[in-house]
Amino acid sequence: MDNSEQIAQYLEELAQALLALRITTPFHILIAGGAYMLLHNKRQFTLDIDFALIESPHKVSKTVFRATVQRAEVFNKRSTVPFAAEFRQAVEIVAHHHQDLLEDDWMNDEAASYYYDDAPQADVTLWRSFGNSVYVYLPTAEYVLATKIAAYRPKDADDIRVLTQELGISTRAQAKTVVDTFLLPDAQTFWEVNATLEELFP
Amino acid sequence: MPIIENKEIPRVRLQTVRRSFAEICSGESPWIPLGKFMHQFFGSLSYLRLELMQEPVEPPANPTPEQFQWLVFCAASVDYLCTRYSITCPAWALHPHYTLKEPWYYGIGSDLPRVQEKLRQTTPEPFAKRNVFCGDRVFNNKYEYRGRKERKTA
Repeated sequence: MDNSEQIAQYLEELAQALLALRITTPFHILIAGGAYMLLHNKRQFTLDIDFALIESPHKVSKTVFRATVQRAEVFNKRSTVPFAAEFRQAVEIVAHHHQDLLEDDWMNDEAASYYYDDAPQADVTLWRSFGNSVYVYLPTAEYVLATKIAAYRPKDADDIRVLTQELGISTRAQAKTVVDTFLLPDAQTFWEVNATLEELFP
Repeated sequence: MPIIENKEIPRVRLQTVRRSFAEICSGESPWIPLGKFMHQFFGSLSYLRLELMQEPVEPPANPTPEQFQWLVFCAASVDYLCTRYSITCPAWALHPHYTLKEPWYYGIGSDLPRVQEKLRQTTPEPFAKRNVFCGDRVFNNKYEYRGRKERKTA
């Protein structure tokens, strides 16, 4: 996937597939990872769409609001999420419509546990809804930066640079404020976030 | 999906280490091809791990220092992943020539002595013995992560 129109097209097809499976219960999902970077023109390519389920908001809004990431995965064969099997089936249907372009896991929530374990409260905005069955929310850049600082793999370095620049973050204290807003204290300890901040802002 | 030698043939192109290195040499940002490789290796094509690594990389006739660094990184990665997943390491990755003369500290802030010290302490042996110091998070991935509290289940 290399542009937002393509992502939107696949999500539209996903919603249609859900409808064909007679699923009308909406899925509220947070998109992060490479797809988020692509949708914000901060990256030119992503292999898959990383998502995590969020609790249904009381009111769907285009303004920033605090959302809770669900402690659940759709792509877990023992998932207790209603209609998880149908969602997985819909993802598979879209993959088969685009056999040469999409892998079977073109959309997955394998990374959801990072979000619900480490940063369960996200600031998000509604990006788009698809067929009244898939509501897609995007986190703020601050939230993405906090999770990237936790991960801090070499492959995250470019994203961290881009996000700190965009947010005008130039000091350790500024970065720490962002991190403290979203990353739980025990997650910060586990991921050695203080050491990372010392490296990012010597 | 057709099956050959008990393995499904993937619908998509294999992002092998060889292909990844070729794409790096053609100017691609290294973590684009290497990210694709990781996605297949840990995720959708994890049943084809050897196939993703066995073809030798093709070094350019006169590699730039940076290209050679990534070549050594690729060899070290194959060595590391083969050890970790009990796969016989392809001979090409063990070629003694694929070692850097000078240490390469790779990561944010890696020009700082204390970061270099941390990288020396944390880098796995297949990288360190080739003079590549990249820390221990290079191949952290969502497919194997079980959550800090081991909540995630297969």
